[in-house]
Amino acid sequence: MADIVFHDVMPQPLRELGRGEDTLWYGRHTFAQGESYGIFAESGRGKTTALSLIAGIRKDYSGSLVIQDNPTQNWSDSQWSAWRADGLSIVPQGLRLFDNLTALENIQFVASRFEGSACQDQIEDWARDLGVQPLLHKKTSILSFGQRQRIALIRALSKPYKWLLLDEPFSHLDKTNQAIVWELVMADIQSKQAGLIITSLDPDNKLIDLTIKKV
Amino acid sequence: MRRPPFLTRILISGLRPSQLVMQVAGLLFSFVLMAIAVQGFIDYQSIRDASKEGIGEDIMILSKPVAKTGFGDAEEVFFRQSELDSIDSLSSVIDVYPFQRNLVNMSLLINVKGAPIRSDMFGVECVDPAIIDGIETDWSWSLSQDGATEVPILLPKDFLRLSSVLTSGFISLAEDDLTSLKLKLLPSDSLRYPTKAFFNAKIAGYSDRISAVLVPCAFLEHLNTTFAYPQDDNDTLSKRIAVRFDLERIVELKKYLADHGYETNETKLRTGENAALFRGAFIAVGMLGFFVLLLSLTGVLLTVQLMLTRSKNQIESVLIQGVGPVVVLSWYLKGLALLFLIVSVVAVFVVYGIKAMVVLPFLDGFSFAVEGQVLSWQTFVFLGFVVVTMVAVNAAMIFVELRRIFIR
Repeated sequence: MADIVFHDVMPQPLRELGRGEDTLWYGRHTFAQGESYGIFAESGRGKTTALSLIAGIRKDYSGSLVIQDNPTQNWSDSQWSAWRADGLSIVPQGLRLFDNLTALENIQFVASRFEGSACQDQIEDWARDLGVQPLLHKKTSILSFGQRQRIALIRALSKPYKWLLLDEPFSHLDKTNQAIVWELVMADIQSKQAGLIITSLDPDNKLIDLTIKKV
Repeated sequence: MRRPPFLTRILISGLRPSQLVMQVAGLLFSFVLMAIAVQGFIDYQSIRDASKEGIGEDIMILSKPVAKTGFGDAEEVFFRQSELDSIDSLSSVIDVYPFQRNLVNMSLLINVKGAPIRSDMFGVECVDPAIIDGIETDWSWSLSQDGATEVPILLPKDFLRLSSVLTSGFISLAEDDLTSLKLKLLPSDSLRYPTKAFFNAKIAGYSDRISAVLVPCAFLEHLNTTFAYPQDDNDTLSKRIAVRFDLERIVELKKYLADHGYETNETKLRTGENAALFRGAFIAVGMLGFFVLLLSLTGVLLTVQLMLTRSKNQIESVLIQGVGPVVVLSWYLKGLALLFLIVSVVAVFVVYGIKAMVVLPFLDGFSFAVEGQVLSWQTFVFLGFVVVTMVAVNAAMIFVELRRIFIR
């Protein structure tokens, strides 16, 4: 199983800011594949940093990050790249869609590369459920942030993964769309037996609170 | 895992079309500078090497100043052997070629469209064929050969103008008519008629260099021994000499000529000085070449660095989606290799055009020549080397840049 373990992990910038007392930092925290985890905190507490460490986007931390029983300190670029390709699916906070591509092309950029990715019909079903099906052939540069957020989510769900990392995925969604998104996410991670780590500013979000473990 | 689609559209989107055009123009400029620097250096070397082999030399005709009006046979007008030796000993002088002159009275009969025109006291000379330019046909003559009455003669380029001037415009010769002119050389032992023989002159060409009517030395010797006999030592001395000199040392020769009052073609001296100046310019180009080269390489590297910087967000996003750095690296390298190749081919055409249409016509005014092809093979090899090196250097740079994206 592709478990993720934080051993006394402490990001350098947070240590300098004296954030060592937060729950996630220091100590041993295990994220088991197949389980769902939420990281709730206000801004500046390291939610995005935690996901960046898991994705190998940042390496400025002390302690040890173990993925699939392997310490990652000495992972090569290609090992990280393989982990991001085969192990993870990410919706970053900034979404990182390619503005000069259409919504569908953004999804295909990820989905078309992997065996077992969602087919075109599945993608269109998800888009219909999320109310963005008419926008699939529009360039993402003209979409609102909420619409882009839903496209980024479809992109993340469209490929095989062991872990789904969602960085504040509901920030620009209304309650109705949040519920639809949540339903899709839960269904997908269950079908893939994947783990979920979601970050949110809102610890009182009833929807999330009811269904996932808190770190 | 399959190759990611739309990679080109994604990675190139960091650059606006106008920026892309500017980058390519910058690259082209750098490559053109490099090609000019290399080709200029090679041409400079070619001229330097040529001067060692005789192409960077020139020839001037020297005569002694005329101090007294008369028949021109005063002792002062002849070059003594000691003078020839002194001139030959100059480091700027490579060789000295005395002219031989006719000792027999000579008339020239020109048949212009059926109207014979006779010019008496006509002189012919001969000199070592090694310094004669403009010969287009056979230059040999032998008494024993068939058609010994046919004599090749070489006329100065300004013969047309001189013909008109000397006859007060009575004779106006067109260049096209010259080949069909019937010229006869008529030697005699006095100024009185009749002549002792006649020879049909056959124009062998026109000389830029020598302002004299030249005939083969064998013919002149035949004239002088058959129709006249040297009366004293002066008869065998030369009134004019040709000097082959090193263009790089024209200043020394010029000073010597001024000190001894010898006369020569001033234009030739100026051309020689211009050549020296031009050579200096080439040395400057050679020295600047390396600097230009470094500047150009830096320009290329900065251009690629700028492209990477502008596309950093796109690269980051692609990598976050699990695309391997090697895939991104290979995309850049393929693109850059193609770009460098196209730009270097365009640069070759540009430099070829500049050299063929501007530089070579300009150099035509000088007495030295740039040897070899318009663009030498070394330039092509160099540009190929630059393309390979650029791809390799950029590969390293892009690799480092890709690593740095996630180094935090």
